[in-house]
Amino acid sequence: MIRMRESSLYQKIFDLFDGDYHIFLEYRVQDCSRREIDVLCVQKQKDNPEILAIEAKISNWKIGFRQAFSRLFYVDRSYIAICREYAKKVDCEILQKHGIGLISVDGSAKVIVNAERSDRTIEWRKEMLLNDIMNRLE
Amino acid sequence: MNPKIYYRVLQTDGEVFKKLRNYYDGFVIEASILEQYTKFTFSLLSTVEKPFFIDPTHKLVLLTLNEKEWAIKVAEAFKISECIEEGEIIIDKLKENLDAFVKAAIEYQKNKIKMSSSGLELFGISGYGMEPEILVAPYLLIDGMHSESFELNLEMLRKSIALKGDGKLYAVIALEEYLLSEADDVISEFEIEGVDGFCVWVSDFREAEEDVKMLEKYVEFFKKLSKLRKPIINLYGGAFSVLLGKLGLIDCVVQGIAYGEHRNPYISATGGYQKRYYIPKIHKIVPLYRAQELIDTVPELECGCEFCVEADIIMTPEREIRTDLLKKHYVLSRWKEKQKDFKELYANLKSTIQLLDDVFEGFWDQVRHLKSWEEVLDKIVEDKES
Repeated sequence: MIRMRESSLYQKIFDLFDGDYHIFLEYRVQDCSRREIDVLCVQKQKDNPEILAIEAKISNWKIGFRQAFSRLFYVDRSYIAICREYAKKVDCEILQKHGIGLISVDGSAKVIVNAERSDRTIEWRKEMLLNDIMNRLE
Repeated sequence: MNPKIYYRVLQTDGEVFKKLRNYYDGFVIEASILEQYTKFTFSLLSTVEKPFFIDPTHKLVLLTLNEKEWAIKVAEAFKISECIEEGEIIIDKLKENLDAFVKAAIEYQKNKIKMSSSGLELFGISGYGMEPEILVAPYLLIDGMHSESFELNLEMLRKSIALKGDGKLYAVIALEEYLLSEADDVISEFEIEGVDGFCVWVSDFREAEEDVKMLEKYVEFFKKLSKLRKPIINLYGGAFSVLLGKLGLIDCVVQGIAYGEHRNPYISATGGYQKRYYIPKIHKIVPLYRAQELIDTVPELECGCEFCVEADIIMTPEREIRTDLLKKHYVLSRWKEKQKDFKELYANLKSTIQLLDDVFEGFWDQVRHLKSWEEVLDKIVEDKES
């Protein structure tokens, strides 16, 4: 049996946000955490662009939740993306309690639960991401 | 009962030790550090005037020595240069040379600091009176009940007792974690006349990561050892050891500043310092970025000490936070833990668990140890009350 990889979900997530956002796959955060955000989306508008983080998981939403939670400190909105067949198992109440969104991926990616604007964002961390991204885009 | 708090000396921590001299009880100096930074160590001890003792063989416990400068110096000081081949101490040669090795290791502890003052008398600095509080028998890591290292430890201990003179001689029980299950047998072997106290090192025992069963074995080990009614020093311990100290099981807890609450002898420390922060309410050192997230999520975890206020932990990018402030905060936090009585710490632990449960619902790994500690401490408290 061929095991599906998380990265197989990226293209569909990319398609979902393409257009309004600059999209970075497997974005390495430039701090000591060595974290890697599966899909990072940065709004194309110039003033205070919104940043989204999406953690892709085939089935294990709990690991995805922990990762998505830690992304709340860097970005404006944080999502878990998971294969549609496993999306039903996700405890949406916990996600909603922490403002984390859910994306179901099958033939295409679809937002099931909207992510709330994070009230945990540490401003200097967001700035660090934005500065790095702007440098890459130049 | 409040356990004493001793720190391992690192050459990078001198200023913190000097500035916070009222917030710890003493030092442990590793022979490898003493050989590399003799003047620094002497200067620190003469300035701070705290009790100290020397850990002679913590770098030799696996009978290996690398080619570093300190290793060559230590080997010479302990008269084992001839026993080393390709970075390994040949056990048969060590056995042949055991008298000389033990004698050198004991004499080294008695005299090294005193001798370090030579030449400084002109400046009114003398090593007179700067003697270690205790002598420590040279030791190896015990890797089995009937192992050669165990036999050798006992032999070195007996030889050390004969050499202790007026000093107090402590045995070191350095053992693999699985041997905690053999506590009775291990301890009975160390019940030797002339031993004045014990130093314990459970290899790679991480108080904040072990499960309840292992923590219980750990506690049981100290309980059994304390029945010998001799002082007990935990060579690598953290807040859990401080709690056990308050219950009368440990007399002194040794750590480094924000490191060294556990030690795995099979792993050498490498370069690359990651900033870490001690969160007093969860009694754990975590990477600074993680601490920022925890405190941001649960503001009740914020520490209001002068060093944290100056560092402005949440609002300041990790790279800009001064390391010395993080270290000072650690020393102060550990001291505050020592000052509180058991009941207060125990009650705080329970309220922190409640607080974090409400927020994280078991999703955050960094705080799971609190529940394990609570479970183990609950049983001890119940036993004490019944």
